[in-house]
This record gives sequence, C-alpha cells and structure tokens, in this order.
Amino acid sequence: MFLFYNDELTSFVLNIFKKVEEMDGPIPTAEHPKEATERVEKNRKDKDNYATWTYCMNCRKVVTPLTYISDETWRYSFGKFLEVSFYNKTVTINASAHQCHCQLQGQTTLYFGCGNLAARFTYERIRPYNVFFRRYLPFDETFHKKFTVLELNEIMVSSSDLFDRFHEHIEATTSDTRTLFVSAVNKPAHLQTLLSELHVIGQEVAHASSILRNKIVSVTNKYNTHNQDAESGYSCGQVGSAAHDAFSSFPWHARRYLFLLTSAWNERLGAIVQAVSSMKKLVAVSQKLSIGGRSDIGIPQGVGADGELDEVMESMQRLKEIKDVYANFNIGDMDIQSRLGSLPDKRSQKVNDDIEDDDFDSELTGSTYDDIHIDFSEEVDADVMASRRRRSVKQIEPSTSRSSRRGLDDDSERRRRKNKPPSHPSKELGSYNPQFGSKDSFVSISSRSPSPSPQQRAKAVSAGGAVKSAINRFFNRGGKEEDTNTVDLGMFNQGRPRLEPGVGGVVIPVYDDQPSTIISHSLASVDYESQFRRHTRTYLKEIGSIKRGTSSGPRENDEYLDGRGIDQQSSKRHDSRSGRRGRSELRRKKERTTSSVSQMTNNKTDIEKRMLVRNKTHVKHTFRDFDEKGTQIAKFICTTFWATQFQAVRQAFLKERESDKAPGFTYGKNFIEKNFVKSLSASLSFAAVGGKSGASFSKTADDRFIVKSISRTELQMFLDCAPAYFEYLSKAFFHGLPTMLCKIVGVYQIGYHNRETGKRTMEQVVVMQVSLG
Amino acid sequence: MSKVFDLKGSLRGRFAKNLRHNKEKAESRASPSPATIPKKYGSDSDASSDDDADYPASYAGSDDEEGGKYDESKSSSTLLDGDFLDFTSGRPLPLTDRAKANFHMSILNDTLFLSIINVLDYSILVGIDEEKNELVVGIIDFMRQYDILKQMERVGKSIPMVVGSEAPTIIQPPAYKTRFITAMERYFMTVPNKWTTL
Repeated sequence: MFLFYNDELTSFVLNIFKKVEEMDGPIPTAEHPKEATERVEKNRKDKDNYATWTYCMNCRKVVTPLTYISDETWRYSFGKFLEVSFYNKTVTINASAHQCHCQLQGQTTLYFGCGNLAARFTYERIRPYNVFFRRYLPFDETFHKKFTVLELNEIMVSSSDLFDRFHEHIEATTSDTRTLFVSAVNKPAHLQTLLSELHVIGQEVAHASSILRNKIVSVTNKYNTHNQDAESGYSCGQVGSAAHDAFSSFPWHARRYLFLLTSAWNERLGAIVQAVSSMKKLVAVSQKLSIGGRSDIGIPQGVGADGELDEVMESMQRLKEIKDVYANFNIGDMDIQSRLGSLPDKRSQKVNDDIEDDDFDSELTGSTYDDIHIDFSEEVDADVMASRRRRSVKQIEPSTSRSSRRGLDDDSERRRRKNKPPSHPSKELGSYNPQFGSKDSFVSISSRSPSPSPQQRAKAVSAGGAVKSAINRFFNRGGKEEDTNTVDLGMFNQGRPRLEPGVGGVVIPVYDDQPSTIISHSLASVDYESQFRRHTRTYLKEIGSIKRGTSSGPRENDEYLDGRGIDQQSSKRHDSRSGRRGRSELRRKKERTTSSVSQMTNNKTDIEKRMLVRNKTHVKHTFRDFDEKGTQIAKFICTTFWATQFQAVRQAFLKERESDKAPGFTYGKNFIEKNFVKSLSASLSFAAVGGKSGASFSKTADDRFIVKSISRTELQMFLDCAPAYFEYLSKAFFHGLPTMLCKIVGVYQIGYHNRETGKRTMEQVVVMQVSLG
Repeated sequence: MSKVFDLKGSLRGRFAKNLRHNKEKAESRASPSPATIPKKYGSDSDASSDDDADYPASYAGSDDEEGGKYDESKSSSTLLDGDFLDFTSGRPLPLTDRAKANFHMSILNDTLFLSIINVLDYSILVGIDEEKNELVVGIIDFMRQYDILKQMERVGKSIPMVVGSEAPTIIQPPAYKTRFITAMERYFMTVPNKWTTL
C-alpha cells in the first residue's frame, strides 16, 4: 500500500495487493486485439515479463496500449515509478487514439499483468479522521427542561386521577354516613361532624386540584417563554441559573407537596371511615338487641354494646384530635390564590399560617411569579414544618388507640431524632431562619403540637375499648380493610417521599433499584453538606497554618476580606444551624470560612488546590425511611470517597468550554453540583447481561454519566491510587497535559437495607463520564 | 456513531462474534488447534505490513478466556480488535496529523500513568462517526491492578499456549503498556497534509 498526497488537501491510498485477480485469458486483448495478441505472442516464452495498461472508468475501455515494463524500470525503484506516474493530480490521459481525455488520477485504473494474474491499482480517497475527546462535559439544559415538562405532565395526569379517586372515596363515605341517620343509636351530632369534615376535605381536594393545574400550566408557559428567549439568543447568566433551579426542582416539590397533602387527607379519611364503620357495628349490635337478640357466645349483651360504643367514641375522639392538629395548620383556609402575586414578606402578617399553604406558596409562587428572587431557605422551613407536623400527628396517634404501641413509636421517634444531623433545625424552628416572617406560627406549632399528647394520654379511653381495638388493629394490619379506608397515592407514594429534605428543601426521590438516586439524594442532603464543609474547613485550616508558617500573614487576611459578603445567605443558614452553641462567637469564624469556601469555588487555582488535597475527605451519610407510623422501613448508606477532590474534578470538568459560554455567563453558586445531582436523580439501568461479577450498570437519563459497580478490590485499588489520579487529572485540567482517560467524577459505596422485603445490598460504584459522546 | 470498538491491543480472541460464539457453546466445543493459524498472525511485528484482512475462519475460533472478561458495560454491539482490523481491511485508520499527534501523546501519557500505578487491562473505546468523519475515543476500565490473582491468571493462561499463538491478554503492566502502544501505532496512522513537517 502506498500513500500519496498532493498539493490539495487530498490524499490517496493506492491499493496494490488487495485487488489481485485472475483473468480469463493470460493477458487481456481488450479493444485492440491485434496489437496485444501480437505482443503477447511475442513474449509468451518470457512469462516473467510484466505488462501494464490503463483502463478508464469513465470511457469504460482500455485507453493505453499494453506496455511491457522494461528491465530498466525494474532496476529503478518500483515505488518511484508509481510515484512518478501518480504524482501529479492534474495529468490527463492524452491517448487520442482512444478518444479519452479523462484525468489519470481518480478516473483510471492501472493494471499490471503477468501471466494469468493482474494487479489492479486503484485510487481511493482518504478521509483522515479527526479525534474527539471530551474535555468538558456541560450540563444538558435542554434535555432537562424537556424532562421536567414531561414530569410535570405526568404529575398533572396522575394527580388529577388521584383527585378523582379522592372525590369518589369521599362521596362513597358521605353516602355511607347518611344512611346512618336512619338509626337512632348514633348521635346526629357525630354524624354531622363526620359529614362536615368530609365536606371540608372535598373542598380542599377541589381547591388543590384547581391550583395545581393552574400552577403546572403557568410553569409550563413560563418554560416555553423562557425557551423562546433562549432561542432568540437572550443570555440568562446568573438569573437564568436561579430560574433554572426553580424550574427544575419544581416537580420534586410538587410531588412532595402532593404527597403530604394527600397523605394528610388519607389520614383524616381513614379516621372517618373507621368512625363510620364502628357506628355501623353499633347499629348492628343495637338492632340485634332490639330484636331481642340472644348472645351466642355468652358475653353479656351490655358489654358487647359498650365495646362498640367505646369504639365509636374512640374513633370520634381520634378524628377530633386529627382535626385539631390540622386545624392548627388551617387547612380549611387555603386562600392561596389571593396571595399568589404577593411578596413573601407579606406573609409575616399572617400568623398561624397554613402549612400546606406555605409549602405551596413558597415553592409555587417562587418558581412562577418570581423566578429571580427565590429564597430557597423558606422552602426548607416549609418542608421542615411539614415533617414536623407529621411527627406531631404521630405522637398523638399512639396515645389514643394503641397504648401497646406507644413505647415502640417513641423509641423510633427517639432514634429518628438521634439520627438527624446535628444541623437539622428540629429544635430551633423559630430561630432557624430569622428572615422568615411567620416566625410566630412556627413557635406556636412547635409549642402546641406536643401539648395535646399528654392531655390525650391522661384522657385515655376506656381500657376495654383500647385493648379491643388494639387487637382489632393487630388482626387487620396489612389486611384489605386498611386499603379500602384510604386512597392509593400511586406515583406520589413512590420514591420514598418521607425522606428528610435536603439542602434548599430539595427532596430527591430515591428508588431502590437505581443506585444513582441514592447517591443523588445523599449529595443533596444537609448532612453531606455539613460534613463536606467540615472537610473544607479542616483543609483551609491546614493551608492557613502552612501559610502562616511560610509566608506573611496579611495576605491571608486580604484573601478573607475579598471573599467577605459574597455568600451572605449560606453563612446565615450555616449560622442558624449551629444555633445551640454559642452562636455569636462562632459566627465570625464561620463567616470567614464560608466566605472563603465560596470564594474558592470561583478560582481556578483554588480548584486545583482542592483537587490536590491529600487528606481523606470521605463523607459517610446514613438516611432512613419511615412509614406513616414512624417505623423504619429502609436504611440507606452512602459513602462518598474523596468528596473534596471529586468536587473539584467536577468543577473543572462538568462545565462548558470557555469559548462556548455565552458572554457574561457565570455559574451560580453550586450550579455544577446541583446539575450533577439532577443528572444522577434519574437513570436507566442497562439490560443486565451480567458480566463476570454480575455488575450493575446504568446510565443517567441525560446520557451524561455512567454508574458502574466495581468490585471491592477495584475500589481498594482506586482508593490507594486516588492521590495519583487527582494529580494526573490536575495536570490534564490545568496544565494542558493531553489525556484520553475517561474521567471518573465520583466513587461511592452505597448500601441499603429494606426492612419490608428484607433485601440488603452493598455495592461500590464509580460515576464516570459517558465514554462516547 | 456507526461502529464502536473496544481495543486492547491483543488479537487473542478479540472478535465480538467470537465472544458470542464462545458464550453460546462455552462448554461443548473443541477449539481448533492454534497450529492452524497462519504464521503471519502469530506475532505483532509483521501484522502491520500486512494487507489481507480475510482472516482464516479457524482463527476466529481460537480459544481465549477473554470472552468472560468482555465487559457488559459496553453494549453488545461493541466490536473488538479483530473486528477493527476487519473494518479497516488491515490498514491503519488514517487520522489527520494533528489528531494523530494528540492521540499519540495522550496514549503515551495515559499508559505511562496507568503502568506506574500498576494498572492493566484497560482498553480504548473508539467510536466511529462516519458523518462527521470523527473518532470519539476514551480509555476505560482502568480499575484493575496487577496483583497476585492476576499473576495466577497469567500463569494459568500461559500453560495452554502453543508456539505461534497470540500472547495472553494478561501480562505485567509495563508489557501491557508496550503492547498497547504498539497496537495503537499499528491501528492508526498520520495522513500528512502540505503543512505537515517531519
């Protein structure tokens, strides 16, 4: 094979050996048989002689006479001969005898023949390939926007379906209740309470349904106009990233909101249905009595009726309690519409704000009406309150009906509290966010909600009834009766919606079969954030001490001065988290650290420094999922190895190339990390063909990352070599070292234990860039 | 992306169809004697000068444990070294001079780094985008270190080796590196343009 190139940027490969063919005859006679035959005859004895001729592919005929290659030619380099004959691209055949004026190169085929064999020389154009290797892996915003819109559609469809089911359920229960008016046994007042409660829930369902629909429509519209803006070349910069955050986390918030709302309805409806059914029983018993029914099993009639009556009283009591709890949150007063356009501050005038309302308001208003000035911390508050509320409800529950369960619940409650990250503001709701206006309501809730429980405990219902209902519950647990009492929440019950909300109130749904969602949830968690910051502080301290030791102090101070005030919000948040300790004293220190932390993310050399940190910065985060009764149903562990270093790798790698960036575009705080979390929050598992180790393998939905499980030895190897790896990468990112290694952007060990199915897994995974594309 | 190749630099059993074939009849198969493999495929040195891509069918059947190691992380359509040579008709794939220079330097850097941290078994994933006339590349699977287990594996694999058959894929990291680089030199070539200097 020979390679030629000429003045143009074209190169040709000359195939020699590939196209050796056997000819029909010894040497072709072609168009001019006489001549050729003569010569062939003449040279027949000398079979070693090579003949050459040219065939024109345009004219479809042989266009040069058969020529024998002279000994002289052979004596010179054959390659040289070829080169000479093929060198000039513009050469045309000027064989007038054959009326061919085609170009020699590209349009003709040169043959060399010997005996029965002919070698065909053809030109083949070479198109040299470019090599592409990804140096930057930017976020696919378009994809995620589309994904979000799809998700919103799904939420829209399934929620309206869910609302319908609630309506049906309410209607059915209402008509059930109405039939009870016939009998005189039950107090009409009780029935009225039930009916009015049902009515209220029905109204709430209708209200929520209409609001949600409006919200989704307006968010989608917003998206569309935003899209048009983007298409018309409008660059969004910081503003855009805030809008982007708000929009992209909207489905998560909506799901969680719906889950909280609907499970609250379920709880109330469940209580009502139970009351109705116990009333029915009472009716049945009293009918028996009035017929003069005898007692088959020898229980005194009075006792039986008393038991039923107790049960009715108990369920009414329970209903009342639940109602009281929710009344604290003012669900009936869902006056969202009128306040949609209002600024967040105005809410401060509203004391005793409705919790669901808050959820809704801060998220929904934020993302639709006020994309730019969203205070995410408010959402944290709302969510925290929501979980708080769940807890307070939970506390009441066992006290009324299941005295036997109380110990267990309290226990799990305690465990849960213990597991909470220290920064979790469960005890300082009031002081959690000073900015938040409706502080009073927080205080009132946190003070009020525990108070009912001792009262109720004192007011314990008659012992017989309690035991009986406990037994009833025991036998009915998990039975079908429970299911008919409530409405199946469908998709809103999936993804473990009860998990603790993460930073910024974002709740990443976790699916057991998608390891990446566990990672995603963990990375967005408050615990991860605080551990990560601790690592950073340690590192900064070390750097600081080194600096102090080696160079002059003032420079360091300058650095801090520069960074001061960059990150007011985060330092404030940070500050309030550590509220229990001597706050004011710590504040100054923290402000300095956090501001320098945030400063670090902006600076290229700082990214490099962090990538080269030698300390182990592993973050181990455990989180648990509880069911509505507070029992732990699943436990997740996610260990992030080399958190600081990998975060730096992501900062350097998961961004746009400088030249592709829109002018003036700067990444918002944590933009890259948020997007990383977003990418990991949805992944598709590959058809598990099962390699040697049966390794799982998945790709994120946006095609950016591969999540691949590795063996323990491989993990160990990586942990040993990680410093070398980071050093190598830093050379590649910051010093122009050419490399084609597929970047690993995170190494994790994740495990979960599902107590319901008893399934346990522990696997090591690497998150790496998609190797092709 | 019309074709995706996973290249390791070894021809031993590196045919995708061979792998599938291996998997199908993993146990009930008497592999053809390696002796039937023509000599010219036996060593690395003369493969580059060669031209004919029509490998004898018997070669495709040659035995190797590689099949089991084939990483499922790549889709089943991923092709291997043998298929690559098939695809290019045994000729090196032409790259623009700049691309080749960059490619070459990257390969040298990466393999050096990996051999220093005692890693082998990595491979380079090459996706061919015919439309853009572009190769999308990336080195993957660099998580396996040379350890005792590997050493055992190597000894085990060398035993059935008959003269003339391809060296096993399990070798020490420096040797793996050398083989990898040599193979890349063989698989890809520079196409000069008029500004190319030597």
